[in-house]
Formats: sequence, structure tokens, C-alpha cells
Amino acid sequence: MGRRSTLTNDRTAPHTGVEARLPGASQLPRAVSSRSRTLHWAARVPLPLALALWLLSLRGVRLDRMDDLGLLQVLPVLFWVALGLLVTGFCVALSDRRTPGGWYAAYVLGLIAVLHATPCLLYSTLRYGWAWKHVAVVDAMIRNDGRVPGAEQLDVYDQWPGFFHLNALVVQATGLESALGYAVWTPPVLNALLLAPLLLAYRAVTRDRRLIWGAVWVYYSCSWVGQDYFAPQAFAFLLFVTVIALVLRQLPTAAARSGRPAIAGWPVGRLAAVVLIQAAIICSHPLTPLMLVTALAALSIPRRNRRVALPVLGSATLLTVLWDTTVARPYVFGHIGEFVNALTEPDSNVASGLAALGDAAPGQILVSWIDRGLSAAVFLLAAVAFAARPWTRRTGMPLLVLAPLPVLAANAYGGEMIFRAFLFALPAAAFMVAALLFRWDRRPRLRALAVWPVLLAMVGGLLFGYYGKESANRFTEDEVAAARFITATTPPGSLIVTLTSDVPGLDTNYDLHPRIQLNEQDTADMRRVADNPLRGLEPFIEGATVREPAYILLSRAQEAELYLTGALPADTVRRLTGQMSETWGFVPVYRNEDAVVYRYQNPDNWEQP
Amino acid sequence: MTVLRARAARSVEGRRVRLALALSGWVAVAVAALAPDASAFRVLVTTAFLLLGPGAAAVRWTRLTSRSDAGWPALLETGLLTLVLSACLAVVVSVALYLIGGFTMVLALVVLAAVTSVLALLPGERR
Repeated sequence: MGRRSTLTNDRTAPHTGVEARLPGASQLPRAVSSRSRTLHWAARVPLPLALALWLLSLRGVRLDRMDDLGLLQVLPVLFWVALGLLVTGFCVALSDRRTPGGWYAAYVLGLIAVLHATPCLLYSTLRYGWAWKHVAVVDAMIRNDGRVPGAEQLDVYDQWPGFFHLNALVVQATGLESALGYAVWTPPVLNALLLAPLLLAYRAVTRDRRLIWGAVWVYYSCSWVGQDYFAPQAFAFLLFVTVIALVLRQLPTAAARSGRPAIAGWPVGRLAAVVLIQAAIICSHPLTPLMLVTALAALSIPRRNRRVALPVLGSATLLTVLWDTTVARPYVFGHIGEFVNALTEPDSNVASGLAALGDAAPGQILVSWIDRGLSAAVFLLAAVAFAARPWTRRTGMPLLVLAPLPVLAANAYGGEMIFRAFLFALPAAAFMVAALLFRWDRRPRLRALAVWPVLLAMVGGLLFGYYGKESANRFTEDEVAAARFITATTPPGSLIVTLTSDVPGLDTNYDLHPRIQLNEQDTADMRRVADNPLRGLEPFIEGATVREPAYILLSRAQEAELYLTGALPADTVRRLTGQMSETWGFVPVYRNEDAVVYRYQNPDNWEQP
Repeated sequence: MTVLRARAARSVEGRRVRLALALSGWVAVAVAALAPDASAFRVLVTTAFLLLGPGAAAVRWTRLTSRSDAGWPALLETGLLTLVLSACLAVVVSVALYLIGGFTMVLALVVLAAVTSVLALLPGERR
């Protein structure tokens, strides 16, 4: 009973005294000592107290005061007290071996609520410009028989439409106007759903409850990348973790660990379920299938896993190749040269997400260093666990930590591959970290005290990455109104110009308006905009006519984005507004507190139809 | 005798559940076709079916839950797979219909309802 076999079936995971209790083995003494009673309540009271304080803290938050540290600088002290209480309560709960699993679940759900529901409760509109874009794509697919024709950068969604087609079906079946209403709640709901496959994956490796819930807590405390909004990536990641959990649970040693006879390979129905999930992943997102193939290939390395891992590796590879050479062929073959170049310069892919910090806001440089520090700390602790906890080496988790590396070397993925690699490695890395931190054979209270600051630091680090850019991720109702004006009331064919993509709903009715985003132009063009915004703008709008004028939309979130990233000088919005107001041909046609829209008709094109 | 009675009761209950599952999709089709857009009733019925119906039928038919575990992991896996397989079946059906140019909301729901009925009424997969 003292030691229990792991996936290896020949090595053992440590027993820490908090494993699932056998029937009859958990009779608590009737007379509980006062010390134990204190611990009992100390593990339970912090949770409801923290949640009450958290809800109270959300009243009267001044979102308009967000600057280069986003929500971090406007959340009141009460919020931080609530979060600290939550971490403290969880530590105390871990130190008490009698804490029921339900309390661990409640703590983790409480953490998810505090981290991911806070923006939903504070903001009056959907968070993230990309989420607005995806809502617009769903709407476009409903209007265009499942496609987004002539959408330039959006046409990649035509080749991986699964997530959008699912939402198109939901929107039409329910009769809702759009996906906007439920998209707002995607981050907390998705993170709560992710809890199930994470628990199943960790449970397949160990029965130590402290380790399982500790790993889950570490995952949510370090998942700062923010790929949990209304997006194909979020949906595909949930399916990815589900497949990995099913595979881990099917490995013969997982069955042996539970003391039941091992099953050779897969039952047909279970294999069919995995293949169905793989099919949904492969038609929903371009990157996740590659991560799935490398993860399954990594799990296939140990000979003992192959009867389980190889069939699903084969199906994942076959389906990915089939999809990429048929439906996704235009995109894949159009970018094959980039893939080949990326393969020959893997170091540039690794570094691509780390560049261009020089002109960023001071707070953002701090945020970036903390993001990187947290990510590095996770991998460092996982590496230490690999050395210090030999039993973890044969659990499959180290292989899953390393699995994203080949994809990282092969594709820059718009400069953010290194963060995606972290995201896909994190479930396994969190388990390794937990194996290092939560082995409390002796003196559990003392060890809880030692781990407490580490958990606090993790959550603190996460909030820098997750909340640090909120001044650009949050939109006001005035900004939504300005975007609606420009996309719904301006003449079809008129050009829409913005400085950045941080405009809520800019892609609505994309097929009616060509759009230009100045921070995505060539370096020379952007330098002209930085030197003299109006002179830099002119080449893009010189074709504007009376019938098809150009509309320039400037808004608060765009200004915030430029300030945070330094892609263009932070005062570009102010300078351009001033220049347009003094130049003939530019007419302000819409204005509110957070946005202004100018219409431009080229005087030289006045006579054109 | 008591064991036999309990088994018979479970069998009757199982049949009722299977019948309810088999009908759930057709109820959703009717509600989606007839109820006003975005009414609470329509949102509730269609969402419940799309999120739970096809997956629950698939889990029942294939008895997907791993035999290597009992207790909360088995329950958790059943719940997760019900939700995930429902979403995946909806994705696959929608994408397939869009790719062949035949997508309509009612047709997609009819296909999902038919799949759910077949999975619910078929005898469970043999072990």
C-alpha cells in the first residue's frame, strides 16, 4: 500500500497518504483533536470567503484608468486579498490528507472563476479583437454557404472551418442573432471544461490525489498564453487534451495500475471515438493536428505503449495528410515554401516571438520578462523533476513536454509559435512541476508553507501575462458603436482604414468594404506614417471617390495598442486626428468619447462616378 | 428474486432512457423549425440536444468509459465524452454538408437526430 505502480508497471510512484481511500479504511476517529479541527476549517473557510471578497472587489473598478499594466493597475486591494486567500486555502487543503476531492474541485473552479470570469464581469462588451473577428467569420459563413469568399486574410478559415461551422449550426438552430452573446463567456467555460481531461490524464498516471489536484492547480496558475477565447485554437486544444487523456488511460500500464486486467490495444468503439475527435480537430485548426501527431509519436517511442499509441498516431497522420492535400490544399501548397524555409532556419522560429520589445511601453517590457520568466521557470522545474523524481520518467509526461519541439522548429506561426509550444507542453509540464512540489511524505504542513510562495508567484506571474494587455483587449460600447457605424452605414465599396486591428466588429460585412490596417504595411510605409501620419496615409486613400470614399476610424483601443507594442509611435492617433481636422477633404462623420470616424474623398477624383 | 427484480427495473429504465435519447433529436428539429427565433425554449432545447444528445447516444452504444477505472473518473469520462463527442459529431456533420453544398440548419439537425436515434436504439457494442 505504501507504493503504487505507475504507467511503467515496474517503477513506482510515491504514496503520500492522500490517495483515494479504500472502503472501510477511512474511518475518522470520533474525537477529533482541536488541532485537526482547526486545520479542517482552515482548509474550508477561505474558499467562500475568497469568492465573496472577489465579487465585492469587482464593484466600481475604474477601467478607464488602465494603462501599460492593464487590469493589474486598476483591480482593488480586495481582489488581491481574495486571490491570496484562495491560494492559501488550497495550500492548507493540500496539507490535510482528509480534505475530500470535492473541496479541491471547488478550489480549482474558484481559481478559474477569479482568473477568467473577472474580465467577463467587468467588461460590457466582448474581450479581444480576435474574438470579434471570429464572431464576424461565423456570421459571414452563415451568409455565404459556409465560406468567407474574397476575404483576403480571413480565407484561411475556409480551409479549417470546423469551429465556425459548428457555431454557424448553433446560431441558426437557436435562432440567435449571432455568436456574440455566448462568445463572451468562452474563457471561463472553456477552462472549466478543460478540467475534466486534465484530471483524467493525471489520474491515468497516478492515484495520488494531492499530486493530481496540485498539477491541475499548477496548470491553471501558469497558463498565461490566453488562447482560451472564442477561437478555433481554444476548441481544438480542449479536444487535443481529451485525446491525450484517452490515450494515457488506455495504455496497458494504466489499467495494470488500477489492479484490473490490461486490455490489449483499443476496443473498436473507443478507437472510433478517438478518431472522431481527431477528425474534428483536423478540420478546425491548422496547428493542433501537428501538435497531436508529434505528441502521439512521442508516446509511441516506448515499446510498451505502441499497441495503443500507434493506431491513433496512424489515424491522426492519415487524416491530417488527407485534409491538408484536399480541403486545405490551397493554403498548404501556397505556403509550402515558407515551411521549407522555416525548417532550414529553426532558430529564427524559436526567436520570432521574442523580438521588437525596444519601443514597447515600460510596463509591457516588464510583462514580457515576467511571461518569459514564468515559462522558463515551468520548464526548469519540470527538468528538475525529471532528475529528482525518477519515477516520472516512465509516465509519458516528459515525452509530452518535449513533443511540441519539432513543430516549434518547423514553423514561426506568425511569430508566436514559442507561446503555442508552451501551451501544448503545459499540461504535461504542470504534472512534472507538481511531482516536484507536492511530494509530501513527511511534515505536510511545513511543506505546504514552503510551496505557498511558489504558488503565489505563479498566479502573480500569470496575471501579468493574462491581464497586462487589457487596455487594448477591452472595448467600450462607444468603440463598438463607431465600428457598427462604419461597417453597417457606409456605402458598399468604401475603404476602411485603421491603424491596428483593435476595433470590435471591424470584420463584420467584410465583403462590402476593403480594409487597410496601417500597422501591417511594409516597413517603409510604416516609417512614413510614423514620421508624418497624414503623408503616410495619403497613398492608401488616394483612390477614394464620392461614390466610394475612404473612412478612417481612430479609437481608444488602437491608441492603447500602439502605446503597448510600440509598433507605431504612441501619439500617432492624436497627430493624425489633428492633421485630418485641419486638412480639406477630411470630414468628421462620427464622433464619440472613444472613437472618431473621418470620411475622405479625394478632390482629384471628384468628377469620377 | 430481489436481484432479478432490480435487473428488470434497470432494464425498463434503460429502455426509457434509450427511447428518450432517440426522440430528443427529433424534438430539437421540431422546435428549431417551429419555435420563434432566440426564444428561451428554442435556445434551451436545441442547445441541450447539440451539446448532449449525439454524444450521450454514442457513449451508451459503445460503452466508452474505460474499464480500468470506476468511481469519479468513470463518471467524469462519461460526462466529458458526452459533451465532446456531441460537439465533434456536430462539427463533422456540418463540415460535410457544407463541403457538398447541401447545408441547411434543419438538414444538419435531421442528420444528427438520425445518428442519435440509431446509436440510441442499437444494442450496445459487445465487449
